[in-house]
Amino acid sequence: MISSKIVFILEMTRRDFVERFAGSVLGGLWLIIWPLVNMFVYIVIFGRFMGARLPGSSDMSAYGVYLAVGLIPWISFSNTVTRSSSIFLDKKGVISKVSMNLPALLVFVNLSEIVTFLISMAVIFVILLGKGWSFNAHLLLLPFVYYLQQVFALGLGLLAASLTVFVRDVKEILAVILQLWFWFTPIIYLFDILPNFAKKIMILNPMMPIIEAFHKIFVYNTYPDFVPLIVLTIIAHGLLFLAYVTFRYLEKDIRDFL
Amino acid sequence: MIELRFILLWTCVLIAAIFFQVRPRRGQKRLYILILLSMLYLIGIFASFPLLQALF
Repeated sequence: MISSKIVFILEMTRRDFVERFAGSVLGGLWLIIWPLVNMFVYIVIFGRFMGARLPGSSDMSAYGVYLAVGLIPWISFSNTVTRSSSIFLDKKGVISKVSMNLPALLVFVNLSEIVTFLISMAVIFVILLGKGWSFNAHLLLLPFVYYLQQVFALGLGLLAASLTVFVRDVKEILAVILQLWFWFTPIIYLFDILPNFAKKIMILNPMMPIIEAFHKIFVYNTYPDFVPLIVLTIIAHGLLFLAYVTFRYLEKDIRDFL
Repeated sequence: MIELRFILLWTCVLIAAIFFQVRPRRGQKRLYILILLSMLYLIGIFASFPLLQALF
């Protein structure tokens, strides 16, 4: 029973990749091109034109690494939430024909984004190793920080997906929130440059401990602050639980609406 | 590497917990326990790192 569900999720993930790049000449290369173009634009504008640098460093490449290791997890989080929010509507053709476990659809979106993240991170690792960066014990935390991020995205995505079926605006509202959230998270700029009142508000940002952990692991070679990560672990799992309870409550109506 | 040993230890505890607590159950209860185990696993990992730093 469990193995058949796993096979179903893996098959959906494989199909997702095939469908996304069907007919395109570059195929899976788009997975690397898109984040690289994004990073290139930000590095050129902020690093080159605006002269953004890390404290105590005149090297633009250090800022480039800071930006890249913050941007890649953010893109993964943002894509997971955005795609999850409309997954029931996107797959309503399949849902209405085949009896399936609806949350499994969100797991396949998550898996698909994990693969994209791993490919992007592999490119970053190659660039970092080329610049003389060495592996350290802090890197062991990376899978757990990313896992926490995706659990949070899964909870948020499931809640949004359940509500989008009834109110289509949820998807658009979520896109606006994610855009604002991106600029409210220290990915492009440094946390230290913010005024005090903004710093106090920023502590409430749930993505802040995750992005900060990526920065500390890759840029500063130190361990992240564990207390915010533990608090976020409780929040993310609580949200997932709440999202699942909401989904179960609305499941019959969701199937009727679809 | 002491950190790696601790991660492996926590992973073994998680697998054992899934085997003995999640596998025999059915339906929603199974998922709720899985969410709880996932949370405890991450808390265990994040809490053991500063402890290891303090001890070794």
